[in-house]
Amino acid sequence: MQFRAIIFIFAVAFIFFSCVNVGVEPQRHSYSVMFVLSNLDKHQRLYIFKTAPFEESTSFDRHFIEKYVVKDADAELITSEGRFKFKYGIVDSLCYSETSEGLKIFPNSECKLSIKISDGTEITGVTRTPGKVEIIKPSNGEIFKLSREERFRRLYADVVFSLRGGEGAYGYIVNAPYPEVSIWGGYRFVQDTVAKLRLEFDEEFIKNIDTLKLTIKVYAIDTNFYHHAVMGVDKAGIANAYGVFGSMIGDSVMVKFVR
Amino acid sequence: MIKLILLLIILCSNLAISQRFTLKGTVVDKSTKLPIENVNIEVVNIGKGTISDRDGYFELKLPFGEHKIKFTHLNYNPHEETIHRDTAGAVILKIELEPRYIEFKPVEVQSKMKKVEYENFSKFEINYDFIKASPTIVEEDILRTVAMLPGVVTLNDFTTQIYVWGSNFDQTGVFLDGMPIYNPYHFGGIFSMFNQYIIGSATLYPGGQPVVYDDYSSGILDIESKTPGYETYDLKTEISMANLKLYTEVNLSKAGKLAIGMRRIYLDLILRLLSDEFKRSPYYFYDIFARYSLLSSGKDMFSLTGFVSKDVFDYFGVNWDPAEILFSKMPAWGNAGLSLRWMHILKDENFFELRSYVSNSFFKTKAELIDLGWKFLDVNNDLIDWGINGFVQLSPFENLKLKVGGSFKNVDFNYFWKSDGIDLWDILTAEITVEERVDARSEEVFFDNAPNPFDFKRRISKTSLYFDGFLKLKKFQINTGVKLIHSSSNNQIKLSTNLNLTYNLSPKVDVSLIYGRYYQYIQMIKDKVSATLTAPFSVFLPLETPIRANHFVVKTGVKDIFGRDKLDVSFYLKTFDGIKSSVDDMRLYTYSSGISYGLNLYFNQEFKWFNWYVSYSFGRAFKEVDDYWYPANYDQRHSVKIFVNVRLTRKWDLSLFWVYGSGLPYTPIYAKYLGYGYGLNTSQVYPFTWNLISGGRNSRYLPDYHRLDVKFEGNYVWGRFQFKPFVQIFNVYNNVRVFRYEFLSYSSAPSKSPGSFIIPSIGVEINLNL
Repeated sequence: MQFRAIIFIFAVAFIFFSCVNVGVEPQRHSYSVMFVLSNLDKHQRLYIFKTAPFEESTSFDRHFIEKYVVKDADAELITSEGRFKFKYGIVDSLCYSETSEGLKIFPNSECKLSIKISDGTEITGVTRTPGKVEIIKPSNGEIFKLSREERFRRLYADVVFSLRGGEGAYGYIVNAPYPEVSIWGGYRFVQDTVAKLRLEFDEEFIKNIDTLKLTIKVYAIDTNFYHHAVMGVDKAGIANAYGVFGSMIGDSVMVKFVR
Repeated sequence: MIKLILLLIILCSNLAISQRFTLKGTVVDKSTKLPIENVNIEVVNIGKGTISDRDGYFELKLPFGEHKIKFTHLNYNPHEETIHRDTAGAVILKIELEPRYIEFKPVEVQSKMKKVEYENFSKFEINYDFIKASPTIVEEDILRTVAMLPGVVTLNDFTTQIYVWGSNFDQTGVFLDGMPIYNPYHFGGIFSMFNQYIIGSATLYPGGQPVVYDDYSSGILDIESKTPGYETYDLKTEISMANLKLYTEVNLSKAGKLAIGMRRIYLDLILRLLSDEFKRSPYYFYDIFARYSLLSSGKDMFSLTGFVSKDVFDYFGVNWDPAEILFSKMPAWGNAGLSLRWMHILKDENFFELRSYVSNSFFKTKAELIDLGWKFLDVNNDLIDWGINGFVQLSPFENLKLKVGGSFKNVDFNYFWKSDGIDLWDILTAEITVEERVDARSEEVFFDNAPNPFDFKRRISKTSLYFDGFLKLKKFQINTGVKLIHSSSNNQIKLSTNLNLTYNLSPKVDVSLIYGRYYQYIQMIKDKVSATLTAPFSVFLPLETPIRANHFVVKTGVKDIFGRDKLDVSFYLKTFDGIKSSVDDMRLYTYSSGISYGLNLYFNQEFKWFNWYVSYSFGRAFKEVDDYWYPANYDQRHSVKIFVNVRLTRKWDLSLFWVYGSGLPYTPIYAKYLGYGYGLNTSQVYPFTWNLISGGRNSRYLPDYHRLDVKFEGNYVWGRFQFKPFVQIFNVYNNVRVFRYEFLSYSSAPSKSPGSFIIPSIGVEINLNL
């Protein structure tokens, strides 16, 4: 009787264990794309890179990165205004840019991307640009007085940004492109249309400057750029490659900082 | 003259020796005839005494003459003997003591009720002897003992965090005297917060638990503290290589008894003595436990349990110059709780019980620092759970028991943290992690992708009515339970159910079919970050939609196949819906499903000098996110566990534990690509970042591992002292268990993190009868 019970248990177990299921591997790609359209930029920059095996040591050095640039792709951007061919090496040795001058990026418009690589890989992407954005604060030419942080020998000013528009945006990027003097620079993400940011400057760098003029750009960003850059999604607005095809619509303002 | 004096001395001493005789014998239980350990044997007329050893044996040297010997033990009626002897030699006594349980009848009734009612549930009873015999790291620990049971998984060999029968750790509830304990750990999980001396009994329900335990969707570890009055020593203490433990009981009145247990790590004190570097204690923990029991008129028993367990880590003092610290409050985390219980005997085994509790889990710290910039950290996490539960148990017939009750539970979640420049991850893993830390974002310390700053306040309450019935027919036993639950989190009523059908195929074989449905309203959300060595503090969050679990368990028990043995074969299938999970690499959440199934074989034999068990477990555990099914972090496919406890000599025991387990899953990284990156602390977007390309989530498995642990334990009686020295070696042959592969974007090979190494330890338990 004991053994009959054990056999019964094993029979039930066998039925269930036969249903073992393992998840499928995600599709892998050989290329990555960084392409974020911007209405404020003179040239649109499309970056196409090969992926690197994990076993390869990598670095952020420009010359190192250049090794991974795909230089022989056929790239085309399709906007409501027409089709625009992109070519490698026009403005930079890392990127592709448009070959004709008529390309303009408009708010609330759909743009498509098509890339054909020599090995037959076809990469496509779609983005919808956010609505027009306008900086309300700070106003053009507004002057900010720099305060001194004694402990760290830094100068800083707290700047309140206030924006209008940007419909369909998933967030905003504030860019103060003055890296030589700004400790804080680059692209800073803010979620809301009103934000207070502290701009800091190394006192050593601006010791001979009484009034510092800075052009600050603020962009409304689309869902693709947000998902890739902020949320960390590997593929956003793009197929058959990692990276992002996104867009941002911006406004700029010039402000002054005085001691 | 000198020779004459020497001669006199020798003669006198010989005379003195010859005027003594030996009194020896054994003390046994009158009803069971089993030896009784720790009987206090006092020679009343000369004030001398000893205690019996584990064989009930005692021995005393007494002068010639008449002596009145008194035998006392808390669980037995006192006994007196008068002996007279004027010649050398030995007097041999065999004393039988009569048990006295009358004054603890409520406890007896309650334990009896539990045993009958939930007898055929799938469960493991963990008693003090098993905990004591388990070879572990540094000292005994109930959670480590639980990890030795079939189907229980740990993510590495250091942690005491348990994953029971295909479920995450937060799906198994840990209770102490009815209080839910949310983070029952010290030292990041290397020790549990339970001093083993306070433990009276513990039961692990790994699946298909009784419906009264509906708060957790997978299993229950129900720990009841020791009822004061059963302890046979006035003072118990243990000195291990890290901690000092104490336990004592005090009679506050004729019917009221107080038990106190304390533990503190003392390594920090030694470090302070050894090095100036550690003048400020880098880390310490302690726990204090007290239980007061009052018996009133033989029909009412009240008990009040309170505890505090706390870890304190002076992270700022260790890592920063005092001149750089503007303000700091050392990171401290732990638990505190209070439980009140009233049992009233109505008649025979009919009684009612009322229990209320409050349980708090906390993590707090605050600091402002100057370190090449201004840094600050403010963490104030509090979870306060309180509730009341009452039921009446009636037994109208001998084979029928009915339990009707209701409960109310309220949980307040108060979480706040804000950090800039101070990495919470560093704080919680500093000085503990062996290998280079995984490049995790600080906010993931508490749960996946939590924002910074985080300010979360929420309250949920739950009201339940339940019924539990037990009916025993000739060969059938039926246990059914239903529980109606109303939760404020979604204002809905849910029905938890449980059905257990047991059929006795023969006197030696029974088969049980168990079904249970449970709802879990509180969950820890953390399944994305790589496994860590330690688990210091987890943030539990309320769920708007509860996790719904279905359990199916088929269990067969076969007794006496070879004699004095038992074979348990259990098959389980658990399904889960509504598990809140983070989406891979995204700061988003989704509700996902889970399924786990497995088979456990457990065979044990018990003899007087030898007991052992062997178990084999097969298990699979999967989770699903967006229709993608992947193995859960705790998906251990095979494990074999063997435990042997043998009495080597009259004074020494040997315990061995060997485990083989298949490796746990990990997510492989195949390649890297250039894209954008994001700094959570700085909110900056960085172009040209090398991002990692993952393979399937948890689609590869770490290497299998095996380990042998050994423990020797002695037992010596010296006067009124009992010494129990122990020597144990954890991972005897130093077989490294890899518990994690770390992939960093700048490196070209994953590093392997060792999850175990050889750890020898010694200690001694000293018991004293005053």
